[in-house]
Amino acid sequence: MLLQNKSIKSIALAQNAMSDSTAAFLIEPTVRSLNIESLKLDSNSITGVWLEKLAKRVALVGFNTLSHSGSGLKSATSQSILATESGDESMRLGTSPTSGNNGLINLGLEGNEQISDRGAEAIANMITIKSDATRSLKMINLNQCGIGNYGFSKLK
Amino acid sequence: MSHLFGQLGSLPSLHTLVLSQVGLTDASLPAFTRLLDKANNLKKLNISGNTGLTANGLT
Repeated sequence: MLLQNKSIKSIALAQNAMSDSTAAFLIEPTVRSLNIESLKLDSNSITGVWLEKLAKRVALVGFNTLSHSGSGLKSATSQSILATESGDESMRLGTSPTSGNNGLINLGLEGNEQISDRGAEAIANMITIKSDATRSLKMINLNQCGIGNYGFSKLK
Repeated sequence: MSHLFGQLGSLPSLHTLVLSQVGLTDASLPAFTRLLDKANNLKKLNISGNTGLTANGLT
């Protein structure tokens, strides 16, 4: 449904009692449908595991895009993540840059207290990877996400 | 609710749809999907606070 409607740019799904398993269904539409610019998932039950999955998928999009342009991979992080994803069915579902679509700009995760340091580390990895899905990312709200000193040190 | 969705779908200029805490569930999705199919200009969708709605149904 979200993939088919190409006009939607902003989706708010706060306080929907969403777990990692239910939120996992949002990863593909978010990464593949580059029309989604704002995704608000505040006050759900999302953990760092979901963010790790998102980061891996974002890395795959980056790989596909860069391979089309012939510029190659520059990030060692991307390469290591891709190595773990080889053979993944989603590899065949990769996207290419779509004109006029920016990809994610605003990601709201406030109040997901189980995101923790694990999620912070996943975000740190995600934003270092060149990807169409995150090339326009400007704001990630991590208030009240249970991130400690280790997580913040990764985000610096 | 499905009647409301049908009415909203007839608004070609519908830009923002807020259905926060209205008790949407996966059972509402068929009518909701039809609305989204018609709403070609919908840019902002807020369906927060509907705990009976799963992302599986949405995608």
